[in-house]
Amino acid sequence: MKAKDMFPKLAANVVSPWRSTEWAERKGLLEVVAFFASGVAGGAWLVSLYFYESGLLISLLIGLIVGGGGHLLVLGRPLRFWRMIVRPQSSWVSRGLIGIGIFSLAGILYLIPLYFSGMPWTASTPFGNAMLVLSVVGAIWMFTYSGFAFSFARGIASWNTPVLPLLHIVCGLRGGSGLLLLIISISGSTVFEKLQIANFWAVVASAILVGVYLAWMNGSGINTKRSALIMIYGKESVAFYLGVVAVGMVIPLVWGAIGFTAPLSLVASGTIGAATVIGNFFIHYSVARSGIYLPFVSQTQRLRLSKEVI
Amino acid sequence: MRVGMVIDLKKCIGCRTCVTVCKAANFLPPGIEWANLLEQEFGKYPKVTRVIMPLLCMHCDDPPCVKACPTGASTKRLEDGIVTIDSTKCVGCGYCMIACPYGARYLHTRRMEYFPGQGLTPFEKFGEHKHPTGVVEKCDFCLSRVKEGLKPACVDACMVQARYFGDFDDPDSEVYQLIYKRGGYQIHPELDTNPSVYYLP
Repeated sequence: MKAKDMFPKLAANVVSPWRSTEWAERKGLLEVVAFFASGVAGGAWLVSLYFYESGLLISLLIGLIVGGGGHLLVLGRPLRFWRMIVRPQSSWVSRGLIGIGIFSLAGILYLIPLYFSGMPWTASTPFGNAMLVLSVVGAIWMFTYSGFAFSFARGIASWNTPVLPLLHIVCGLRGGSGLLLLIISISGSTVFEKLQIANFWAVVASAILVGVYLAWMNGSGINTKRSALIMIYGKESVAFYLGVVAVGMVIPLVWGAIGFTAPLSLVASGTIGAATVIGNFFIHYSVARSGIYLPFVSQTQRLRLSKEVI
Repeated sequence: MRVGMVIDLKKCIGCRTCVTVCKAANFLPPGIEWANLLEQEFGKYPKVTRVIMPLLCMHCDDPPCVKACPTGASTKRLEDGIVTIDSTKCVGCGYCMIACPYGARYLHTRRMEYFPGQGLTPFEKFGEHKHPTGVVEKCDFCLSRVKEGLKPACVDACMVQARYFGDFDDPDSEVYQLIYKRGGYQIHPELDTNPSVYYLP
């Protein structure tokens, strides 16, 4: 492994933007997985409450194990994880983990009477209702906080936008509906037409927001434009066109549109669901990989600071 | 009191004495440079120019890293404005590294040796306890030296005396006068971090 691969900061040039690698490479990718899983789990919890209660358990497990676990695996000192909830007044990671905790605890307590009889509370008792409300709040927070966590980075111009939190929220709902479609198709139950319609429009909304995000990046300055070019033309374009566009949008939209004219089979619904979820991941992945920091010196400053080499 | 540094880019020759002395004074492990120096060349022979930019933690007045830290390990000292990291509280999440626009923070992931396969040298063993693995670390303006009234090691060691250290809140201090008279500027002032490191053109 070359030195510049091990220590990317040492390879940063003075006037060139430099890549954000903490969430884009190696162990940092687990953070992207955690954000993705938290968002999908939160969305799936909400959608399951409305359409298909059997999806609740899987949503909870994904949120707790993949989402929460992903955040813990990234830590250099995971046994100190409990310290991460002490700064909600300023840290979005702290707020997010509190949300995951509320969602997990409330979700577990809500689900216990559904699977085990003889409990002192049920879903319809005041305590059960309170847990339901808390789990809904936690679920909404699960797909909301990650966008704000990204947008907090002032030095990464392409992340510092209000579009990103909105994109994460829509992706959470889209991923949740996609995951539920997949769960239903695997379980062999009847697919709800309304869920397919909801998934279709969630994908449409996310496609519009991705377009808005790219347009914003293109018009917001040279560094955001660079990020857009990395995403569309550079090394990350494969993940973007294949993962985000082809799998994440074309498949769900085309097959979803067919579903308006004729009922879709379980396999087709499951494919739409899987494609939606995969596309969700690649949206998070593409955004993380295209983040670049502002160069230390602008081109005009460079002219003033240059020294002749004799 | 708000201490800070002024770096005269006209004097800096890119010798990296500051980088080396910082490594020695703070027992830094391989791959971690609290005082970094970036160089970039432009043009073709014989008309070649070079830009040299010494970098370190900016000890911002409004540090985004302190706000981002979920454990409270990163704090800004009230007495002098130096941003420090408590390694006993840091969980190594790296969110402060994302938040820092200046790339001043390093996650010490695993123990590395300057002479791989030969074990740690006595020098490395002496300083090993100062750099626990799994946590983030950065320049602290040689806090132990500043507490004793000394200047950071890089300031004292600079061969061409391109670095100055002092109190920005004192209008009679050297750093204040240099910024005022020579037009000292910060990197990325538009980010509203108000760094405590100024550069003289």
